[in-house]
Amino acid sequence: MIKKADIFLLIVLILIGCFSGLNSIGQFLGLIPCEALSSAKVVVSLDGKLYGTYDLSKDQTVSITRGNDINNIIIKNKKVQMTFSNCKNQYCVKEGSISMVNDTLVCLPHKLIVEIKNDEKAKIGGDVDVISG
Amino acid sequence: MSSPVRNQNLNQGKTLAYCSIFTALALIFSYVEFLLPIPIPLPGVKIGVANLVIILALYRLGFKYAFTVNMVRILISGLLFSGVFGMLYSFAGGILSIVIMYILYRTKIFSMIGISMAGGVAHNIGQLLTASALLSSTALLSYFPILVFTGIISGILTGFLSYEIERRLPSHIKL
Repeated sequence: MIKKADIFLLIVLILIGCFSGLNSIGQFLGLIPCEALSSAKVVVSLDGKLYGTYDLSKDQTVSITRGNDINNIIIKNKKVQMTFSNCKNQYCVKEGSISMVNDTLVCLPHKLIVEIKNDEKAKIGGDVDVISG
Repeated sequence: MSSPVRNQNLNQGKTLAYCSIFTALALIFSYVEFLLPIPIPLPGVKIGVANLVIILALYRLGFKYAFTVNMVRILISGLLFSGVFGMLYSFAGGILSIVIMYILYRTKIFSMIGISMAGGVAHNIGQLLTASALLSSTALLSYFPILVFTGIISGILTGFLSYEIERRLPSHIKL
């Protein structure tokens, strides 16, 4: 029932997955530095536009509101967490905390993206995963 | 005594009945999926149980009706469960996945498992691309690898199930 072409397809897909995930694998193996610098920023963008940047090293609570959409993020001990969202699916709250460079918290219903960026690349979108682009 | 007109009416009735059954089944599976908690809190990660029905529809009813069944399923399940906003992602994922599955099906060199696998990955990628476009940001693309892998795994699972069902499904259920 499994044909040769299936195996070939599986290998191709796994290769695509690994290749596009080179960044993450490299970070995992420690080949690519992923520690957030002390100057790292938390970049918040809403609906594709920059909402604000905040220091990762400074403990603070940020409330992001637009109309009826409310999201709260807490920056504490160089970690960022979405503590509250009044969105429907609550994925963003369940995602937990992020601390590595290029990590993201996403709240799709509110079109909100929270990213950790090392200073010099503190712009929306940065150069995440050029391969998969 | 069966006149051509009567036969045509019978066939139309049969087509309508099968399409309705498959749509209803796909909707139930969507509901089951909606009830199941997902272990990975990522937008777009799903087991894709409804895809099982769609693959069977592709094999038994052909592309035209499988496509229609899928579109109707997404429309109704969007209105009932996931909301209009989620419907947009589902449409992107659903259309991309069924087109890819049909192309692989036409080549006749893939089994159901391979087809389902490609469909799962295509579904996830379609959703991811829509989300990126809506947010006009490339930040989401960092989810690409994990969505490829979850697509592969869920695709193999549903493909295997579809294969087992296809074997047991009476052969007269087809158009």
